[in-house]
Amino acid sequence: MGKLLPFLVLIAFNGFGQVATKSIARQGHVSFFSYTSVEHIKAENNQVLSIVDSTTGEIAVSMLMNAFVFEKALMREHFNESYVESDIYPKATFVGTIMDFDPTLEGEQTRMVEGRFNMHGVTKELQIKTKITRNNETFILSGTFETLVRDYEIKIPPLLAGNIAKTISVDFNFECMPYEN
Amino acid sequence: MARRYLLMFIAIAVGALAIVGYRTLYPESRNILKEEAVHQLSAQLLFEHFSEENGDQFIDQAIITTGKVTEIDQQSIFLDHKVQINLLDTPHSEIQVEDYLTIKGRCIGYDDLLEIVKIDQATITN
Repeated sequence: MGKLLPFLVLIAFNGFGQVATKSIARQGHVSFFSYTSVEHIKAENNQVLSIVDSTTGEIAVSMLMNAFVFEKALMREHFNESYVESDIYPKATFVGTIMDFDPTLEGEQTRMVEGRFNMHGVTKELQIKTKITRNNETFILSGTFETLVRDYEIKIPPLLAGNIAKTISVDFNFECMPYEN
Repeated sequence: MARRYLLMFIAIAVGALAIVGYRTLYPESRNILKEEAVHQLSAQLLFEHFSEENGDQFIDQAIITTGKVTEIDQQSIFLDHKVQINLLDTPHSEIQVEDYLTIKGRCIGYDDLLEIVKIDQATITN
């Protein structure tokens, strides 16, 4: 995380003083789902920060793990205290680039976003198929991807192994508005 | 007769255990408004705690904070430019920039990208 922060700040504030068009979603939406025969678990986070630099196609996402809302209080407690250890790793971040992004294209375009996702102290390279919709000055980025729990060194006690899927489905939606720093 | 009382006692005991067990396994979600605030401080002071890496004590706690509304967007308001508040019910049309507000909510942490403290499940208390 410490290594990623300067890069995030660089995208956010364009530290080299170049002219760039940045858009921001302060309250982006990320939800994840775990389906097993024993239990369905869903959590939503509507406080996700996302910044897109449309001139370079760079994107940075930052979310506080504590902001995930669960249906049951106990699920939230397990998630924060035992699985993602949000007191030690309070944030998850993604830093990447929208490949072949055309910011001038009005309407929809589907692009691959390639970058590094950091959660629970583990960084993984991800490629995420993303739908980008431009509506005047607003970019809406949305998509779904799947990820493995074991990739992020999250330890599930054997007793609860049947309650939590090995593959978690993640949905995201960021409505990025023009950002003037 | 004694057997009937015994059966009634067992039925009540089993029922009580089931209720206690269910509430232990599936406690109700938090209602921040009903919780007693653990901390009360200005929005500026709350921000300073986090910017000096001394904010862990506030995370996931019910807190009361006060400040001037500096920005209102679709889903949140900002106090003193530094604390982002996600209100539960109050329509934003009832709030004006420059209003002084006291809010009670759950502090979810600090985003060092934009250098803001985030509070959700908030209610205006003044």
